[in-house]
Order: sequence, then structure tokens, then C-alpha cells
Amino acid sequence: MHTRQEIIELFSTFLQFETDGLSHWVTDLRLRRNMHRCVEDYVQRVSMATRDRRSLEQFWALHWHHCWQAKTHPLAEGHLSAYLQESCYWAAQQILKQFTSVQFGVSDYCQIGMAEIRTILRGFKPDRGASLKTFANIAFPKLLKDQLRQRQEVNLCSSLGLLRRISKKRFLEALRQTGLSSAAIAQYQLAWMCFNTLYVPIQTGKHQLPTVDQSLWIAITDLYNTECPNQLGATGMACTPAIMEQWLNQSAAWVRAYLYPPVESLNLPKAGIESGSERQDDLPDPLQESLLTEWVMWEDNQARQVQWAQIRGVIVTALEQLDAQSQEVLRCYYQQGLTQQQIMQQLQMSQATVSRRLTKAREALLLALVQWSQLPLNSSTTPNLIKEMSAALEEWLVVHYGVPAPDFGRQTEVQEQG
Amino acid sequence: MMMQFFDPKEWWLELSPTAQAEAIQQSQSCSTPVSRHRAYLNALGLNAVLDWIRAELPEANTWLAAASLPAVWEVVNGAVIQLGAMRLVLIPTEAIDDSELEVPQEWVDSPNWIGDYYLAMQVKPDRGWVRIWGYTTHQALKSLGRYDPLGRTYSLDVEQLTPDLNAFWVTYQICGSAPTRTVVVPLPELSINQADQLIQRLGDPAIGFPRLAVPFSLWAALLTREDWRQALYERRCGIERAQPLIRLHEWLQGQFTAVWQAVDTVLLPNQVASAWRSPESEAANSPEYLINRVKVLELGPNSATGTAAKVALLIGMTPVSDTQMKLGLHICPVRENATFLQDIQVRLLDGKGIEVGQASAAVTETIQFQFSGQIGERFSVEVTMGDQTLTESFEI
Repeated sequence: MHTRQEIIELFSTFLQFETDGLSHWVTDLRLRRNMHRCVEDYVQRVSMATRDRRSLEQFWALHWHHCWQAKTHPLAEGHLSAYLQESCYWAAQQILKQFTSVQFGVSDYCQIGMAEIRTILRGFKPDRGASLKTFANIAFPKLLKDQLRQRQEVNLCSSLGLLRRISKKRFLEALRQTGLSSAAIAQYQLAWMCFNTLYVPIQTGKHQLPTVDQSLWIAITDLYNTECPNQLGATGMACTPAIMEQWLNQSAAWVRAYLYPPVESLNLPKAGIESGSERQDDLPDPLQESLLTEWVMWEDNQARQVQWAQIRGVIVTALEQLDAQSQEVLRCYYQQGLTQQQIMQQLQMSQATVSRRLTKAREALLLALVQWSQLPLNSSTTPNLIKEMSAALEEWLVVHYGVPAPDFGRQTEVQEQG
Repeated sequence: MMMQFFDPKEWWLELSPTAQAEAIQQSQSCSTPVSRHRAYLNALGLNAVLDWIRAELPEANTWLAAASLPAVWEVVNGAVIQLGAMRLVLIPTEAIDDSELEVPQEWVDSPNWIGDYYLAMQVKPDRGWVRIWGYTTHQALKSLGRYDPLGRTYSLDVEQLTPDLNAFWVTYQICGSAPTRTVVVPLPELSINQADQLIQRLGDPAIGFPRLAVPFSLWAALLTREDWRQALYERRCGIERAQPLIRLHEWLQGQFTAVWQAVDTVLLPNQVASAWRSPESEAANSPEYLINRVKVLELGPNSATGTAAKVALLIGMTPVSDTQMKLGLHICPVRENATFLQDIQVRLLDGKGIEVGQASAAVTETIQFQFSGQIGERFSVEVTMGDQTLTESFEI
């Protein structure tokens, strides 16, 4: 399989997995036609000669992200999904390398990752300076790790056990998804609260939960019926143990189906080869003049490049000031993508040492960065600024340590960063 | 396997078997499986985070002493660490999905319980770790948080939290004085009687959600006062409160507990004037005491008549010598309950619990005892109405 080079291809093709594990690129014709049209439009307005491929790639990524945010183009998400295929694939490979899971293969992880593309797009802040790809290279592994951690847990939970391990937000979302009325949802919520009060380990510190039998349903129902008038007022109605059992089992099924559906059934935002009839005429103006001007100015901004160089300098200096062990721990984590367990083995350290070293090393870098940002104007630092710096630091660290290119088999692509 | 998902932006803290055993022990004084489990998760998290922070700031401490914690965890989730004046509220959960930080309203809307920072903490006792994965401020919770009236909590979505504890530590070091709190509405002042009533009602272990059973402001006003919270907890656990001994000689130094009030705050002027008058004694030679204090006793609704009664127990005392004290004891209705309740009975008992005097309003018009005793001698007063009895114990 070849690596993608052409701009039009980057924004209109998708990885397709075969049963034998090999993959190839498939073109989404609608995306391709649209991209083709946009590129032509662009060429007419901007002198092509001055732009190299990398900077063009950046432009289109920013352009579609802008359209996606402003909801001005129906195909924006499709273009971005196509664009981030390598990032997601790379993350999937990383996760596969780090965590042995009989459950998932590369294509499963790619599906899980792409199903969450909106989370990635929401998190990307162009102002921070890193490219969308760099951001996605950080965000995808994090997202996949979270999903894997949660799904591993979920697989160990009984259906009622899962109800004890879910946040209220997710519980309510799963119920809303089913189209229940708000009055009905309130009843389920109260039932869930009563359940959480009574379905707890019998002996503190042990993990054994009460037997699920009639007496449990009766106890939950009694509590529900006692609390119902006070909590739900006129809308609440008395419940029976049989209904209670049905409510809670049903909720558990909804929660599982909503939050952790089988990977095969994930609803991918963009995977079609050809979608519907060709009604290209109703697409909006592909390029906005203002964005174009802004982009040209943005790209030519020398100050930004100077600032980037300075920030890199600050991080490198701060890194050098760390003790050798901390530097090594950071390298293992960011450059080699090792898990804590692997670092413990490689560096012969205890778990507590690895986690404290890593945390404290990264903290030292953030502190150096924040202190540097205070210097020029002696400006006051706000908690919000620190929060932004921290997000940016993660991007800078990934740039600094470099991300290995995704391995497509015979060929590898030299991926450029930053 | 244990901490394979470790992330340097989070605090992943190991729970040793000793830490687990300690937390189990701390949790056992709560009353129900769910409150014991809540206490267990909170104790695990609190101890682990405190150790972690103390490695750098040895002065960090828990807000409440270990003995006072079960009373909090009996009814509400959360624990506080103090870094100087800064308060960190830890909110443990077993939820695996990291979708939100859900904070009980008590920690957000009670002026003396507010925190500066709120830390989201996942506890995983069976795998032996806790992880702190995000934080926010009181300001953010109040301005961006979703309030759930059913569960009385404020929630902030993961996108609105800072998912980086490095940032927390750097913020603490660089802008420790940045504003974090929003002003909240003060809670009402509860009277002692209101508090007693609430404690009686919510102290019933059959009330599954005491924190949701009465309007929030009443609940918070009760909960945030340590002695009331302790009383509520003891009642829910079925602990008989040892009657505090009232030490009358401390009154000579002007030391009174809040329940023993000045006479004119409780009684009407004519009641004060006639308090020590008896049918036998003329106004001119009725006794007067150097110190007079009164306590309002509440006899909850009589199971037969359904009426509640408030009676005043008035104590008067004058030292006769260094070792001898002259005492008066008088019982009368409080203000509006002007008619005296016929079925009240009072017994005076000596230090060994033997009856030394007895009176009832049905027989005599007023209930009154006058006697003298030695310093250090004990006696008690038993007030009975219908099937209820209150006892007050004294040391002269």
C-alpha cells in the first residue's frame, strides 16, 4: 500500500481493512469531487508556486476545521476524517504495541478512534500553533487508551455492576437516547439512586455485592416508594419489585448499548464510498475570502515562528536541567511510548518512583514554560493561561520527541511535524 | 497490568494493603453498608492524596480530625485537605467513564464548607489504586456547573475541567492567590429547637436520603455545625449520647453552654418575677439567687394527644460558703404555651439515682424545689410528660 501524497487524496480517501489484515486506500468520490473543485478555486486565487505541499496540507486542514466549527460546509467532517486516517492508524498501532488485548485488532482501534472524531475536532485549538495532525497524534492515543481502559472494566462488570460504575451524566444520556419523557427519566434516576444505596459491598473492603434476588428488589422498591412522594412529587408513582427489576435491568442494557456498543456496530461519521445523488450545486462557496487572507497572513507571520523557536529553547533548557533519571523517564514515556510497567522494567524502578518522577518531570517543564511566559512583560499569570500552556506543552513535547511514522508495511512515510 | 494506563498529567496513587486496612477501620463507625462504603472510598482517597501532597508540602493537613470524619461520610460524599488557607475538596467516585465531576451541593453552597479547588478522583480498591484526573474551582462550578435538583449536586463536564494536575500544582505555586471562589448566599440560623427537631427526624436510619429530605438551606445549616452533625450521626448510628454533666460551679466563673440562656430571653417578665414565689412564701421573703439560668426542654408530640410542649427548666444558685451552695429548681411553660400542661411530672434524684423529691402540676400549682448541697455533689432532674422523659444531670 502506498502512502498518500496528493492534497486531493489526503482529504478524500480512507483506509480500508481486508480480512487478511492488509489495507488499502479507498476514494470517496463525493469528497474527491468537492476537493478537486476547491483546489481549482484556490489555484485561481493564490499563486500556487509559492506554496509547498506541507503548507498546503496545513491550509486545507485549517480550512476544513474552520468550516466544521462554523458548520458552513456539510462535507467538512468527511474531509477531516479522511485527513486524519494516518494519525488514527498510528495511534491504533501504538496501543496494540503497548497493551495486549485479545479483544481488539488495529482495525477495531481505528473504528473506535474514528467514531470519536468529533471529540478530536472539538479539542483542537489552531491558536496554540501546533498542526491538526500533531494534535490528533496526541489526542487519538489518549482517546483509545481511555476507551480500552473503560471497555476492559465494562467487560468485567455484570450488567447491574455496570450501573454502579457509571457517572450520572452518562446514565442520563443513555436514558435520553431512548426517547423517554423527562418524568420517566426522573423515575429511573430515583430508582438508580435507591439501587446505588442498597447494591453496595456487603462487607466494606471486600468486593462481593449482595445477591440479586427478590429481597433486593423489595428493599430497593421500599426505599423508592418511601422517597418517591418527597423527591418526585405528583409525577412519581409507586413501584412494584417486578417493575423495579425491569427498570434497572433495562437501564443497564441501555447504558451498555449506548456507551460501549460492539465495535462492529460503531456509527462512523464518514465511511461511504459514494453517498447519494450528485447535487453538487447546493454546496456552499468552498472558499471564504476572509479566511484565505487570514491564512496568508498567518503563514507569513514571522513572530509566530520566532516564538515557536523560543518555546522549544525553553523546553530544551528545562529538560537539560532535570536529573538524568527524570530525563530518561520522559524519553521512555514520550519517545518510546512505553507504559509505566515497561518503564519500571527497563529502568529498574518501583512503580511509585516512576509515577512520581514522570509527573514531577513534566511539572518542572510546565513551570519553566509558565515562568518564561511571565518574563517579557512581567505579566501576571492566570490559572486559565496555565491551563492553556499545559495543553500546549503536551503538543510541544510530542513535537520535541517526535512521533514515529505509522507503519504501513513495506513503505513508510516521512511525517513532518510542527 | 495495575497502572498500565498511567498518564503523567494525572496523579496515580497506589493503595497498600495497610492503607486499605486503615480505611476499612475508619469506615466501620458509619451506620449502613452504603455509608460505610462511602467512608471507605473517602478514607482511601483522602489518606493517599494527603501522603502524596505531604511529600512536598509537609504542612498539608485534613480539614477535620479523623474522629469527626465519620459524621460527614455518614451522609455526604467528599473530603477536604487544607494547604494553609486553601481548601481542596476531594470527590471520590467509582465511575469509570471520566465524563464529569459531580459535587454534592453541601460543598458548594455552604459558606464554611466551600472549597477553592475540587479534585475528581476515581477510586479502584480492588486494583489497589486511586487516580486524580482533573480539577476545577468553586467559581467554575457555580458559573458553569449543571445543578441537578433531584440529587442536589453540581456537575461539570470533562471538557470544562482542567485534565492536568501538573497545571494544578503550577497554579498553586505561581498564582496561589488567584480568586477561586464565588460568594454564596448565607445559610439560615437554626434555633436549638429547630436543630433538635431536624436531628430527631433525620436521625431515623430509615430515612434513606437524609440530605434530600428537607430543604437544602435547613439541611446545610444543620450539617455544617459540628455538634449538630455529630448528634445527627450518633442518632443514626443508634449511639446513646452520654448525658453531658452540667457543672454548676463553672457558672460562678461565668461559663455557660449555649443551651443555658439568660432568664429574660426565655421567660416573660412576670414569670421571672414570680419564679421563686411559692404559695407559702410572701413576695417579700421569696428567695433570690445570685445566678439564674434557663434551658428550654422540648417534649416532642405526645403519642396520645399529639401535642408538643416546651417547658423551661430554671436553675437558681447562690454560694453560701466555699463548699456549700443554695439551689432552686423551677419548671414553667415557655411564653406562648401559657397554660401549664397538666400531665407533667418532675422527679429530683440524688447522685445515686435515688428519688429525693417529686412534684406534678396536677397536684401543686407550680413545680419547684429548693435545697442546698456540697460542691462536687451530683443530682439529676427527670421531666416526664406522657410517655416521654428527659433527664438533666448536674454537678454542684
